Amino acid sequence: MANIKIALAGNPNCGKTTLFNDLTGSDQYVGNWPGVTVEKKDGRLKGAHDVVIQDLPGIYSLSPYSLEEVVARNYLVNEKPDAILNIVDGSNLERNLYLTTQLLELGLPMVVAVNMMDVVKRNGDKIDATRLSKSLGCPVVEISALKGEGTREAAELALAEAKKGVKGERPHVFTGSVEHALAHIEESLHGKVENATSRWAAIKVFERDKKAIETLGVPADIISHVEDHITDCEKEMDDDAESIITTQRYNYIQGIVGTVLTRSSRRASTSLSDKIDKFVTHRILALPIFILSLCVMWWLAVAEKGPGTILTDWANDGFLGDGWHLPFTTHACKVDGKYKDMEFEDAQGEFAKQDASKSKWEETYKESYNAKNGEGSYDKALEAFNEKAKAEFKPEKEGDEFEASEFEVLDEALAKTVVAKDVFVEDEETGEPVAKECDCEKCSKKREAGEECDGCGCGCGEPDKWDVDYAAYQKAKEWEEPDPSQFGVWVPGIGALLGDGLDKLGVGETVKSLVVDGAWGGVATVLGFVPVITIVFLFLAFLEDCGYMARVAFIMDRIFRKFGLSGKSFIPMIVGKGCGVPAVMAARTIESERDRRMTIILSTFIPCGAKTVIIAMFAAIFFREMWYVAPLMDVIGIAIIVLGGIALKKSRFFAGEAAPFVMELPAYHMPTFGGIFHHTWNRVKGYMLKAGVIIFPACVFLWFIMHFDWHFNLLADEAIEQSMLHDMGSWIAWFFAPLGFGSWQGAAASVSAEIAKEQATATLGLVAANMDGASTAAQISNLFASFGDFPKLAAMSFMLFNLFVPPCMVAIATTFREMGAAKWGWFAIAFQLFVGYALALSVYQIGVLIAGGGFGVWTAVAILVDLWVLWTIFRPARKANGELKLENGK
Amino acid sequence: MPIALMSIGSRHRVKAVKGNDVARKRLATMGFVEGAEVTVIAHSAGNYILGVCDSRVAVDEALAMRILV
Amino acid sequence: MNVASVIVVGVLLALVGLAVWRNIRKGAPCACGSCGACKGDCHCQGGESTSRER
Repeated sequence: MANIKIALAGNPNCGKTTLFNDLTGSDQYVGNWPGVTVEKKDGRLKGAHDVVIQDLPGIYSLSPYSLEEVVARNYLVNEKPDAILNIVDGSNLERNLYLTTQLLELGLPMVVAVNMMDVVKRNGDKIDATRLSKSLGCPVVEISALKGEGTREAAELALAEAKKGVKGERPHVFTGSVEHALAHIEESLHGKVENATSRWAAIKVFERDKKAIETLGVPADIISHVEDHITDCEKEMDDDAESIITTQRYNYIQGIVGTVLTRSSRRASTSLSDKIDKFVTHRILALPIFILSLCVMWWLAVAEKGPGTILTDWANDGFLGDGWHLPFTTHACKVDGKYKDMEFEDAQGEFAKQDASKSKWEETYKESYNAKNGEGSYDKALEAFNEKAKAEFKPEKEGDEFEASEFEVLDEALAKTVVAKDVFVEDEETGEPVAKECDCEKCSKKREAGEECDGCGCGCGEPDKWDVDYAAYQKAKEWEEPDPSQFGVWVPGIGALLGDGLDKLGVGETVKSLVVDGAWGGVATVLGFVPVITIVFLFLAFLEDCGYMARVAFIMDRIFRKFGLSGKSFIPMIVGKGCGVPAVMAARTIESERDRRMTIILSTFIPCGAKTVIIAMFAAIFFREMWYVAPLMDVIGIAIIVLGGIALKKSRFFAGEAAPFVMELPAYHMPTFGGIFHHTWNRVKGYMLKAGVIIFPACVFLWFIMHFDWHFNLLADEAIEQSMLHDMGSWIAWFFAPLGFGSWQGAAASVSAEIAKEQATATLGLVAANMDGASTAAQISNLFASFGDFPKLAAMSFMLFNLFVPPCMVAIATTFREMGAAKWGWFAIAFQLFVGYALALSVYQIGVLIAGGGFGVWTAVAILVDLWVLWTIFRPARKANGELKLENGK
Repeated sequence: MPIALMSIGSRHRVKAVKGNDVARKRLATMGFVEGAEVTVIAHSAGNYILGVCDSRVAVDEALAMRILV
Repeated sequence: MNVASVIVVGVLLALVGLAVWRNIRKGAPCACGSCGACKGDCHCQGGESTSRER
């Protein structure tokens, strides 16, 4: 049996996509603001694989004025589905029925499904489905797609109608002379168009809808024949043909709705949505509220004590790295030895003290030795000692190598006199000596309460310092670093497991480095940020699903409009917070070609999911205490879009008036847990997939060119400067020098970001592996320190550069495709590159200037560039024909 | 009188929508036809939220000046 | 290099090859993270693979 095709048609925001997912079990994302679905989605009905459900774009009518409408109606007229399932938003009957009347005229079997019945019931309204069915002449069924109620019945009803193939009685929408004219036209069309569609064709002819007339193949002579009738009607009703039709439709609908809908008497004068909107779109509060919501999101994601950071640290160091202790269990040492029964934290503290004692004493000893025997004598003596030991070295077993001592007590008598004074343990964060904690009752109580001890005479709160003599030194030497696996329940991290596993297999050091540092290290860096991006995506999903994002476009329209842009240009930015590719495509809804091109250029400036990872990494390493740096990136993105839009609009290419802005704002509604979870999980899944499929091979490749020279010799770790990557990076490092990270590492990372923006983080992790540092984060921190005197500025500059230059390759490819002409694609790239470079340059150079780093050539360049940019923004605007716009004229 | 000049919370009936471009047709599709009931829900610095057909439609000031009530 | 090393490297390169092959076949997963099946055309966010009729 041939496939049965059922088309889903309805307004945007009517729940069509929810129904589609419900019927087909599919997984498409639901947009809550005017969407950009231009293509038809199709799927098979669950349990009936010969039934195809065709989802049409959300449309308000079958007019020829937007691509969505044309696509939908061409499908309906040309491909003739076996039935139409028209989804109608029950809480918004009038507008939705407008499309219904048009669909009915097509002459196809149809079922009307009144959706959002849950909202209708909650409002206290009632819909008489039977009456509606009679008026419309087709079956009407009530459903709630969100809850899955009635959806199956709707589909089956549609199937039944399809099989019947007979159309019901058509409603009498038009009256008087209009109906008369239409009937006349229909007669003339008899035989020239299909019977079923003849009514719709007649209306299209009446409206002078050129596109439809073409599609239907109406002969020209008929058109001219009926023209008189149409003009007569227009004169009589004192309105143009299209307007007449529209008005009559709405009149008819109002009539029906009056008989079919019973409104609740307790309808509040302003609904909750309106009340919320009063704040959210308030002329002064709107933008701050939006920025505030971004701040909340970022605080959760990257603030130092926030959930995002805690989880990401655990993921990076623990789960994916060395390992972690199960939380909420004690971590007391089970093994006999110095640490027996001590808690891990205390053990670490004790070791820190012993280690400090050891180091300080050895330092003091060296000084004394040099004081006694002359400058530099200690090192000479140690060298001599090691050489002697090497010569006498006898390996005990195979593979044993001689290890030189780093410290030896060469003069015993001297040693006994050496006392290191004021030894302390340095606090990691503050650099100050750790404070003493005494165990007396008062102090313990205060400590438990989280208060600081204020020196009750026992000396606690003061820096803990003590002296170390030779005897104490010898004892201190015996303490080894506590092994976390001996304390409590220790779960080894994947990195550690991988390393151990490879060791067991007997794999060599190089291969181990390839797998653990190269492949796994890079991927782990990216995966470690899953907690952060989960939080961000979760938050965005909530904002989108509840309906807030539509308001943002509305708010931005106000600002945009002053500069010749419309809020429609901002919608892609919202999409862009997830990914730049659909953002660029979302510009399709903009009719003006000029504005569309401009929107495409600007839409990738809002940090996407991948760029969020870069922000997260830099926030964690360099700006931990300054969580506001993260939302600042979003604000900068928006600022670039606004200012960039202004500047572009003032140039000849893009000048022109703003397009009118009409947008439906759906009612706010509480998103369902399932919905948000689903959307977020989809995105996170995709992110992880990307890590495996793009980041992973890229890192392996990078490892290779980092560890091999041009003759394909394997290099030792220290010889990294001879590697291919080093050379390649150095070739272009000059480009980044004025930005503060002009090294081969900075260059490599920035270029690798074009594959995928988050690759920059992975590459940084790889190239920083040679630096000192206990963790990747520390290594990267040291890497930037090696760039110059202003590592934080360099880090900020790096971040700004990679965030605001052209997006990843996939997005660039999309840009070229959407632009159509290659020259616009290149213009976009040039523009974006300029913006990113200029921004990073300015921040770095002027930042250095302020920080006292002096004025240089590039500082001057930065200032000049900034002045030029300011000029492009503030210069007088031009009208579309190139004339200058005057201040008060338009 | 254009609806742009009406106060927040007021209800009106549309008399006409000026002009004959795509924007007007879109407005008509959304429900702004002769005789339709429209409420001014919100108005802030150049943009309007109008209630029509049980829903909320946002329009810019220029359009709001063309909707005569 | 010993046998174990060779095997490990072999497995690694096979995985890399698999990833690259998948990319070519299915198109690089777009960063929006909702899909992996597009060939540069993104299915995410309702913006779908389509040839824009202009």
